[in-house]
Amino acid sequence: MKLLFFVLNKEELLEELLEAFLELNISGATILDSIGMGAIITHDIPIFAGFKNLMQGSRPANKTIITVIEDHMVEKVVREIERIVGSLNEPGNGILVVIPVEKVFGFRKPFQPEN
Amino acid sequence: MKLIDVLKPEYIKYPLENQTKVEVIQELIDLLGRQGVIPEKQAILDAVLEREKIMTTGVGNGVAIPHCKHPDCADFAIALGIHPEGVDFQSIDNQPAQIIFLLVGPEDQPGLHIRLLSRISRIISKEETRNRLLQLTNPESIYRFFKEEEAKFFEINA
Repeated sequence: MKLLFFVLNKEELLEELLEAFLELNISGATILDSIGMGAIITHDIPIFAGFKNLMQGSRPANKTIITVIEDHMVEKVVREIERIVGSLNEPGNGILVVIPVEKVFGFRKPFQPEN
Repeated sequence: MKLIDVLKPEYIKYPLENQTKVEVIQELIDLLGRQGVIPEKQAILDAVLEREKIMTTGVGNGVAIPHCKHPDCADFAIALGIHPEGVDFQSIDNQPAQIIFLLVGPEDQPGLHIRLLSRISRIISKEETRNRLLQLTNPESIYRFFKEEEAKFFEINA
């Protein structure tokens, strides 16, 4: 199993991303309202206000999606994320971290397709 | 790299003699100008005042950190002036600024510029530190004070 930690910069793509997760049989995820460090530094700390130009293209807020998936799903999920948000090698599309999971507790069973 | 590498005793002034924000910034620019650190004083003043238009660098608690990037600056330099009575800096807490740092640096090193600003801000953020600094009345002792305070921090990557 893997923990997927995805910071989605373009919040307007959240619905499509979650729909894709459902299609991939990922039936649960936790979505957090989040803010990048750069946005806080340049907007909320007055001394760094002169560096707003460095933050061009960044957004005031983003969404962080956390979910656990089976190992064999990683490639598929990453491909789908990139199809929706664009290449993760391009700045501004998002940040994805995939971490090995030792154990999980409290999960319900994934949705089973109906026959 | 450390703050102390770019803040020299010759760049420290006690007390600042002027009474307005622009004059005090000018006084610190003159100090660096006399040391041959900055090329064109008027251009630096313009750049510092341009930065002030975005948001005041009077960060509160009696501290102001006016700064600018300028293509003619070959290197970073920090000047520090103490104004015992305080000068109106339109600070975010409306308190007069007594401890005023001027940071100037090249345009193409924004990362290091941010790290230096951050380091100044962290050193001076404690009330107890500010109070001890405000007891000092000559550049040499103020320089030594910063050297000792900064020794508590890690080196900044240049």
